[in-house]
Amino acid sequence: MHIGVEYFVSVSAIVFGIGMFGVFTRRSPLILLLSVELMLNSCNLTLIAFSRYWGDQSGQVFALIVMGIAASEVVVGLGLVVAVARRKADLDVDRLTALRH
Amino acid sequence: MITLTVTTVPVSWSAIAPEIVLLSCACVLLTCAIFLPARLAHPVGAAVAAGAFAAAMVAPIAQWHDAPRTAFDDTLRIDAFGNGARLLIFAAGLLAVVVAWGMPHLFDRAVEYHALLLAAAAGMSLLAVSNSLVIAFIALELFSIALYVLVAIDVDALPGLEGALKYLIVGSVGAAFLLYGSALVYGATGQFEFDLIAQSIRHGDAHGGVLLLGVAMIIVGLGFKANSAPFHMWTPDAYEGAPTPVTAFMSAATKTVALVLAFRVLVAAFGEDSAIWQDAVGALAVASFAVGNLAALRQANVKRMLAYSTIGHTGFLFTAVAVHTQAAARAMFYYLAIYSLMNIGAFALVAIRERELGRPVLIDDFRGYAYRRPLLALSMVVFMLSLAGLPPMGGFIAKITIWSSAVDGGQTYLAIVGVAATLVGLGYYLKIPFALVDRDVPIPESPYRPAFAVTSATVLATAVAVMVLGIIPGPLLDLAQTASASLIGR
Amino acid sequence: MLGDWAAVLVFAVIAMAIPLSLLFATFALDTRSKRRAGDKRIPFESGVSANEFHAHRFTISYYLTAMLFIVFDIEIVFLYPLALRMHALGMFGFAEMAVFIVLLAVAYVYVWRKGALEWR
Repeated sequence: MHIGVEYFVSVSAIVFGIGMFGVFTRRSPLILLLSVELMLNSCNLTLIAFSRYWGDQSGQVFALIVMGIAASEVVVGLGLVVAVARRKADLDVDRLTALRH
Repeated sequence: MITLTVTTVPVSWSAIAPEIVLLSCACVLLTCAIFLPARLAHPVGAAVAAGAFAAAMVAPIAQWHDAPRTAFDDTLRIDAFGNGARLLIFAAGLLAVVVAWGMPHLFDRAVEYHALLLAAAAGMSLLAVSNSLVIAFIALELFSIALYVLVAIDVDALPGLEGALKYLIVGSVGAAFLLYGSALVYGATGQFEFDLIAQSIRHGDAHGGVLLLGVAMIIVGLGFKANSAPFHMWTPDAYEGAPTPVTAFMSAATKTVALVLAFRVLVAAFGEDSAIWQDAVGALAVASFAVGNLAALRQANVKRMLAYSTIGHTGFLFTAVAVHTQAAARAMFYYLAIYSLMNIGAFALVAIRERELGRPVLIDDFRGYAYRRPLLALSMVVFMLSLAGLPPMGGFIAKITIWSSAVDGGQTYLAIVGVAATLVGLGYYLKIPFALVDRDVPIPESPYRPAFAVTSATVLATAVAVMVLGIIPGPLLDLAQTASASLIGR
Repeated sequence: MLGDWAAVLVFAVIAMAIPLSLLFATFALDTRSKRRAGDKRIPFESGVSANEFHAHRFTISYYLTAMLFIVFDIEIVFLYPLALRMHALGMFGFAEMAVFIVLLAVAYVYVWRKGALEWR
């Protein structure tokens, strides 16, 4: 059975939208990191779908690279969250007021 | 079905020589320097980093007059445009090493500071010559991740951590937009390499709607990275929270590399369809002018004011991207060189004052400073006049060349908005020169420490350079001409 | 047409069957007490009781180790395709893999020497 590329791209667009919605509405740094991961993974889905569509493996290779990069990024993010938590700050960006104007 | 073909591409060592030098020095630093005693960490780190930056400059200079060539199966394009950007980045890195010299709270993390600086510069250098959306994304993330950590290098300071966290989240969203845009462009054309994308569009093979959406998302992603206006929210926090040498490096090098990428990808890949992105980039420029300059007016903290001012400068640089003629590329290059110098100089001066006071610097902290440190105060006047765009400083010529290219390129409205933005800019840039000569306050305390000598010398040197390049702009404009001609041969 | 969806149906059935059988197994194999009381009434996951979460916090070492694990673990993503096509890629692939592993080793040595792997 063959599923057209448009289905994959639609799913990925929805996932990207969910991630974007999360980034713009949520305040907890952990949920924000989660949302960013959703956005990056929806990009992966798009890349792999188009890679299949064009019969060209470079999209898949790119998706692998994105996985590695996304992991590094989120680890740095979690490291920062842990460091902030260690400094006794509250894990809520709304209450991170030191940098307000 | 996907057929697996294995082809190995010829390795061109000369194409990636700077990146190899920088990254191997970073690795050597990380593995060797942690065995060093603490008091040697900073001198060794600084020496290795400075040596690496100097060595990395060799290849771009040697290849300066070579004809543009592609390497690694068309994924890199080594031309004077990219090499010029590389030189600006390495110069900014060198200055960041010098400005950090003698920073008290860097001592126990000096090795990491220099290694991350080298890694960030390597990512930027690769980005400057990338000719493929894949390489561009990898390079972008390499330098971004290094910068996230650099902003938080002082893990005991909460502002740095918070600034880094905001920078990371907003920066990752920007990267996700860029990536989704790249994926859509790949879907529309089946290609990642800029020239092949352009070819596919020219032949009419591309799917219009998907391509349009892809280009739009790439522009949004670039807007995040170039701290252009609706996507600028991380800039003030990250710039204020970061240690000042890091801010100096970020403001100069990140801007350079983001603008070079924006120009290259929009012209090389989507140059045929410039009608669809020209107005969008123009709108970002106008928004940057407005937000940057108006928000800077009401800042009391000098670093925060300069952060908003860099958003305003993005307006001028995006003007050049919107115009995208050869004259605009030349103007952008000249602007980036002057901009890097004056920003690093100004932030270095803030770093000096910060170390004297031991706390964040407000505009009021410069009151009467001219009577204490006349030479440094004079340099600050040079930087502020240049940032404001007044003659005879480099910033004046930079703005004039951008405006003339905008008028010639049929984007007169951007030049007009730019003039208005410059007038608003006078309102906050000139606060500092007036504060410097304020006689009504007691002469500020400023204990002298020998570590300032190196940073002060840097400040004076950059101030002289900004002034000399403003009075005699010819040689730098010639270099910018070579760089722009290598991308737009028309 | 309907045949196309048979796979989805089979997948859905299996996906439902696994958690249901696990739930059933908890009741069927529960020999210790017939009377379900206290903590046994609360939904649980992976053996961690939901109520203890607020009182009990993980140590920093747990997060540190977990994060380091993620970042080293994900690198296998690059080694796997290389390993699959090792013969076709020949010396070029081998050299690339060697460079990659050396870079990982640098990071590992750094993490190790910094004491991030020690449990505190």
